[in-house]
Amino acid sequence: MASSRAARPGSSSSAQEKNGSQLRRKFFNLATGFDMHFFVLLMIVLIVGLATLYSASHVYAFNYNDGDSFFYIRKQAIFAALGLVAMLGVSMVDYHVLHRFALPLWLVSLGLLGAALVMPSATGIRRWVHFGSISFQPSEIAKFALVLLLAHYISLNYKKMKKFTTGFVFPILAVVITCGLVVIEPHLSGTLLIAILGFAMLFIGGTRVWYLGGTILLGFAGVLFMVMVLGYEQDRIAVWLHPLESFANEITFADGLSGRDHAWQTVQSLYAIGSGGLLGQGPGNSRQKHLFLPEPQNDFIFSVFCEEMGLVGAVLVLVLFALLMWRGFKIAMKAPDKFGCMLALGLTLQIGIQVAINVAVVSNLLPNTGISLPFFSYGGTSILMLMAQMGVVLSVSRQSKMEKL
Amino acid sequence: MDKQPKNTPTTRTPTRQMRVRARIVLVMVAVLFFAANIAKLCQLQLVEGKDWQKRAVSQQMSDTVVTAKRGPIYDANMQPLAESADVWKIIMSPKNIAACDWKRMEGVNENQALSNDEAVLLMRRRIATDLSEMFGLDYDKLYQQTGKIGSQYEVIQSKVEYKEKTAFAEWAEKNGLSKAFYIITDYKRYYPQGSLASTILGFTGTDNAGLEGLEAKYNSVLSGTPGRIITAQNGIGDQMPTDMEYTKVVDALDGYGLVTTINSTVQMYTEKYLAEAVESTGALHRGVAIVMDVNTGAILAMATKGDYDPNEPFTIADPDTKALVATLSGDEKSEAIYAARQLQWRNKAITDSYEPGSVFKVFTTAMGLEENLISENTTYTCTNAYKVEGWPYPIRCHVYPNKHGALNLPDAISKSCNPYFMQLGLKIGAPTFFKYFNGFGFTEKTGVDMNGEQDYRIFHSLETLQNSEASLATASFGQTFQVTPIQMITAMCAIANGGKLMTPYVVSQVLDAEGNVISATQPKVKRQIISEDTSDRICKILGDIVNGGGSKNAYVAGYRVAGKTGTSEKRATVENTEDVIASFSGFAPADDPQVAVLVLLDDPQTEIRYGGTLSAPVAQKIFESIMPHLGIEPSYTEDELNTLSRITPDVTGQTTSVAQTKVSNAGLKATLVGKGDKVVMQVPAAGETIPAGGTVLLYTEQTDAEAVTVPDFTGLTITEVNARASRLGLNVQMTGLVSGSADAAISNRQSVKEGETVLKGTVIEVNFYYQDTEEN
Repeated sequence: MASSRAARPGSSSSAQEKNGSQLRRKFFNLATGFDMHFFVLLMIVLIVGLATLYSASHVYAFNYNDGDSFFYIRKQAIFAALGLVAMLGVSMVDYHVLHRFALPLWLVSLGLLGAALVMPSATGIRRWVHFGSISFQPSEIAKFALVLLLAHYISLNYKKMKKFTTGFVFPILAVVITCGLVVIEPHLSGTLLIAILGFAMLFIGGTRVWYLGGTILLGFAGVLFMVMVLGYEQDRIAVWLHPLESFANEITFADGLSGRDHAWQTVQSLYAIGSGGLLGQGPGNSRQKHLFLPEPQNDFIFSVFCEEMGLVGAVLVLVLFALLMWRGFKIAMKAPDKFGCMLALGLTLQIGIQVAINVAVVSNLLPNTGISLPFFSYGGTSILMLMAQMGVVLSVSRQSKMEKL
Repeated sequence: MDKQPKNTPTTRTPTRQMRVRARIVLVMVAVLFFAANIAKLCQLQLVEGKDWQKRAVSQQMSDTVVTAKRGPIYDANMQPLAESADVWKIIMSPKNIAACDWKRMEGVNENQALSNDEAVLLMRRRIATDLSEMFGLDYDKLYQQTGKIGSQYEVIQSKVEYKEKTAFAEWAEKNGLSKAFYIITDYKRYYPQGSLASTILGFTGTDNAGLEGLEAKYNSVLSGTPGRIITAQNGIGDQMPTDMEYTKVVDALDGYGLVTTINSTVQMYTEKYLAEAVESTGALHRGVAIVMDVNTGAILAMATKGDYDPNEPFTIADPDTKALVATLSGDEKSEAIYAARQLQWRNKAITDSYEPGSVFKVFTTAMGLEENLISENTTYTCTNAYKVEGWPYPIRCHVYPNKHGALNLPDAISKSCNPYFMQLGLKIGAPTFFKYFNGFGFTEKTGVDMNGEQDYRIFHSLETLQNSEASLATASFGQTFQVTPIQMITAMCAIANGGKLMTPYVVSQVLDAEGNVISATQPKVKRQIISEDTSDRICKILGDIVNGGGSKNAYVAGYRVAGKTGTSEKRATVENTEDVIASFSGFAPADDPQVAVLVLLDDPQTEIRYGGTLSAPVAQKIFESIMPHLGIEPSYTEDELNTLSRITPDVTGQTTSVAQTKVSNAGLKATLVGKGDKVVMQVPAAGETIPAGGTVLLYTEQTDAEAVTVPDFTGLTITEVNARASRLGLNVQMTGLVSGSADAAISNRQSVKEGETVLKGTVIEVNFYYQDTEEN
């Protein structure tokens, strides 16, 4: 529908002129210029997320941060406030300036991923970069950098996207390089997220379906080969397929952990979700957050939410995210150009896919890999960057041809 | 506008393909991810919700078992034989170590920066180090236990005493590790009298469950019902916040107590004399003694020697076996330890069977008298052996090649003549014999309320008795079949109590924790097997043979002991063995039987191995010690009063002439020492028992009384003992049977040890017995 209207030359041209005259004003008008639906939905998600974080984290914080129940929520609230400022700030900038940053930012993100790999780590997992007192996961930046790079690339080369080299080899190389650096951290769910995001954007951008389908099939075959033949990740797979059997196994494996240890997080999450039932135990009444569930403020925050709010609450939150996606999608469809469209789509999809993977992990639909729930999980720099990215979507919405409040 | 310039807005907007494909992606994300997630959540929260919740609740609740206190076991006078004392069990919850404050550990640098994992490691090492030292445990094993982070219940040490427990609690508190441990009340079983009655009591295992004896038989009565404490707890075992608190306490119900029929004093004497006999005779397969109330079947004492200390049931009590086991190794050693334990725990009195031998002649007599087939005057002739049908050669009497000649019934019993009883048995006939054999309970369990009464014995059936005259003949004098000691004494009680076969029992009452009687055992008569008249007649015969006949080594002055000895072969189970069992089974007083005693020595190693020589003296000592204690008054015969003892009169402070008259009136001799007019001291003192004609020294001046050294009085005849005693100025009180042909008896023990210094005139008891009785 939108495309047919946009194709009408006369009307679109006049609208463009009208918009053009309002453009400058709108960029400097905080509330009225962007899509209020998206903004309100985002605010609701953010508030529910913060409330959930407090409920999920205060017991853990009290026990492991010298009796400071507000340890996590305080930091998170501060960063969310900063994020809000950043979001509004970014929304006032014309997103076209990002064209200039596309390639450099991507290269920087690669550099940071490389830096993370050489950072000292006690556990052998190298996902973090530390700058003084600030630490963050470069994969968070890489996600955005890749979305930006692909949006930039597609908007410039949209006519050649059917070609093998321009439309497939070059962009897929960018995806593979990013994924490659993330997967050796190792950060499996991050890799999965970035890969899905990259493929979705190329698909939308016009790359031939069978190039992408072929690559996906190859990737699947490779993963299957590594798991089935080379025997990678057997513990994780065992816990995924038979969580309770693993949980009952107290025999210690070569890594010094038992099946019980491996399955602990997953099973505690299932206990929490299952205990919620239809209507939940009521706000604040989770029992599993009382130190049964490890780090309930992080990847498994949604388990606590499910226990307290039940299936009804969980579905409501998923619907909330779906509405947010739908609105982001709408902004993209109405975007004035392909760059804005791809950018808004990529960022919206990033949220949606991450939510979907997180929920799938806590409910053991997918094997347990570390992935956070956007706007819910604790993480200062993470929420700051997320909000800034939403600012980009809002920036696109300012120029989208849609009803504004 | 047909030709659009390159940068017109129309060309810049998203292409149609982009829009279509974006929709496809949106739908895929919505369906594949969101719909799948919601379906999964429905499965977890609706379909399986209850199940997950149940599992979650089970880990959110700590369920602690509270041990019930095991009930005590008392003897008949409420003396505790077994009781439970408070001890403690220390449990570690490795899961909670993370919740402890490592900075409070002693000697730790509080300022070092430790990650959670490092802190836990530090605490684990400290726990393993300190506890391995405190309880003498293995460090590696402990350290491994501390690493079981999923566990909340690792038993560190059981049966911890108060002092250790307090020290531990202080240590945990001081080091900030209290959260990782809890201390549970537990109970430990004590047997305050040590090995006394061990084979009756049995013992408990580490889990407080009874493993042997009454502890096992009455385990469910004694153990009570454990309680529970259910509380809500968080992931590291701490209490939940107030609004989520939940505590449910189910009190433990303490076990019931048992009052037994065991009399500790009787048990003590029984064990003492039996142990001495087993030791002195070297009985290879241990000995048994049982004391029973003839009228009720209550067991007053039951002993097997050697036994064990129930406080340390797994320690091998027999020093020889222990030494032997120490020389072994490997499987051989563990097998030997196992065998030694099984043996010392085995209650031979009810579990092992033996051939009763001549003791059984009492029952053959009872059959004959009850069926009016014989009387006391019935005579059979002993020609040193008796030929029965179906046996190649005549079966010999024990006096072979001598013979008894013609005998009446009392003589036959006294002399224990085998041919007499073979002929009597054949006259009774197999059906009648078997009727009584059954009737006296030799083919069934007695039903005593103890663990391990033997089911399988070698005994005759009606067929075997009917088909073989030899079987019937040998059975008549107690060979070729087996009974258990408990069967034998129960049947002997039926002979003594007027013919009632009782069900023996050892538990008289069950008490609850407050001492209320829950149930009480009533004496149970199984059946009347012989008439009171027959019973009286046998009592008289058996009384006579102890008081002058073949069982005289069981004689106790003042108590007419009745009984029969037996020296039985073990050929029913072991081919061609020369080993014997020396036994005595009897009761007292013969004219009003109250108490029955059975003594059995399995395979004595002495030269003379007769029951009369070895077992009757044990029974005699038991009777002698326990009868006064049980409140059974002695009643001396005139003969005994005349010959055996006098009570010394109190003459101190009286004039010499009055004193001398009093002493001589009492049937004693007076010897004056010194030149005064009045007696200032007398030896023996007033009220002592002294044999008739004994000497009382009357001191008339304050002088040091003359002292003498006690000589060895054993191994002598009565005449020799008297001569030696009068030479030294000592008085001898003779015990044992000393009437009749006095010099046939030999002294075997004395009340004051050889070499001790005593005052002149002191009374020394010397016991006499007959080495070579006339029976087998």
